[in-house]
Amino acid sequence: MREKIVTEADVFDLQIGAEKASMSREAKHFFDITGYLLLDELLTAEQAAEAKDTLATLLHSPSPGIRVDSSAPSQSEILNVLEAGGVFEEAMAHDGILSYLGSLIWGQQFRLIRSRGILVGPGSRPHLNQGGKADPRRYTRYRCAWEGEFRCLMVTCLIALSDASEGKGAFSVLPGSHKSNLPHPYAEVALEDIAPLQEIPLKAGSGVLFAETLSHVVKPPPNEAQTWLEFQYGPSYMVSWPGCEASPELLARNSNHHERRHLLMEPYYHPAGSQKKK
Amino acid sequence: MTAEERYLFDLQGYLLVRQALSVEMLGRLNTTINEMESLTDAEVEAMGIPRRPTESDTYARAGISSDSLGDYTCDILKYGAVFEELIDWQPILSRVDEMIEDSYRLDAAILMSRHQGGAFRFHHGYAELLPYSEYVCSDANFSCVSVKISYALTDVGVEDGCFAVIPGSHKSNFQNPLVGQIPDPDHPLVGPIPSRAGDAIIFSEDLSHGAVHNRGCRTRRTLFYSYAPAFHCSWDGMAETASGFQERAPSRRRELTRVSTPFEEGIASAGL
Repeated sequence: MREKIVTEADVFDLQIGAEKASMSREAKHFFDITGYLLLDELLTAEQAAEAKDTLATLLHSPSPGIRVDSSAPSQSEILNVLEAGGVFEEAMAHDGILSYLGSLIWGQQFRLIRSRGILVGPGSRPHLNQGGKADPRRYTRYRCAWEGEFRCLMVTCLIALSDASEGKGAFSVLPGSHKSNLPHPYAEVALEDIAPLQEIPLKAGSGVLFAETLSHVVKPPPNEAQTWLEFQYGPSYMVSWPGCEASPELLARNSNHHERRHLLMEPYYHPAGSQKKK
Repeated sequence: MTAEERYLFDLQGYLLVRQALSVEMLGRLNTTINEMESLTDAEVEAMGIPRRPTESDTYARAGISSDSLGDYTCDILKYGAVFEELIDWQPILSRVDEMIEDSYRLDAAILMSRHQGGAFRFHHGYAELLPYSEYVCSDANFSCVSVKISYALTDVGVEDGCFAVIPGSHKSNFQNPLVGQIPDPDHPLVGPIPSRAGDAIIFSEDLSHGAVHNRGCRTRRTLFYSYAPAFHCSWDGMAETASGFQERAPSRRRELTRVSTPFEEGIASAGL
């Protein structure tokens, strides 16, 4: 019988909450290999339609705390959509997402970093981000040790609010690129000519949870614009994306929802009352 | 950093920088702390810099002092004065620049005063997988997640409870069997680091570290400054500055306490 290994969390009662994380071995293996997980039916068809309609309204009449950026060709970003409440707040803390975050980030020490709606139209010019070691965004670092101990710095959940099937503006990834040691050679290559780029068709309301450092892109749709809802999560000590700090109204609205309140907590290194000797 | 410094930092997880503080700077720091220590608890509390006495036995074991202050820590940046100058202390930050590599911030600055009988238990090590302290070196480039500096303001020999580490533990793949223990300077894994006043120890937070039992009668006075990538928060307000700081501080110093664009780098490369 192997001797019990005493960790710092045992000695100092850090209350990270890693023991509460539950993710199947199969899902861990899939995520480590590919860099993403599929999350079917996060939202009902009605919820997806409601979210899409609200984003369409916010695009032209952003409510307080929400910022719209339409500077990219045929693409708009609606930052901090959470402030609009309703379906966005429900989606942010969906069980189907939170059940993975504890394993992928750092026990219960995760929080929401950014929320946004994204409208991608025909003629948009997205490009495939560098992933893995070539990703200059340090806050996206991916790490996995000893049989599935993940320490992802940023995990993104992208939810399709309209059907995004193959050839019609699908979300696409280079599977495994979150661990790439080399930069991808496709900076100047048209998306349709990148052989290993894999489309992930999604029905409205379904989503994909991925390590942000995975090389990914949403292809321009051929006809109608596609609408997406995105949440990004990080460890408890990561600050909010500028412009995504929770307003007092948002905090008050969610003060009775344990999971939502947890996601909206101010950043911290260790929970209050932890770091006691056991 | 010199080639030897880079090698030693990767090998051991820390660098000892002799006389990182000038005699003049060291004198001003100690004079200021003497002034602070002459104030009553109520006075420092009113100034927003309460002394936090070491009471629990969690990490630190409290020593016994001949004065009334006892072992304590204090968030000294709220006092302003000379402590602000250490925020961007060039002899040290020129090295931290290479160790963290990207845009970074000050996330804590505290004074620790330790007396006879005091000690600090071993904590951290790579195998703990603490995301906020990860040691990273890739292709001969460092990108550490947390770098701390321990400035010795007094001479600290082994008998005075000096800083102690397990050299190399910032890369250990195994849990530290000494975690939670007071470092024993005679243990073959333990590296006590005696310092002279003015020396600085720069270390990766992933290094197993603590302080040996202070068996002497001298007070160990240390300033700890901690730096992390810009997207980190501060440690419980330990990087809060004094009134008027934004107006009087040079730009680099201001930027280190309040990074305006923590996520800016590489945004253009995002896929959406």
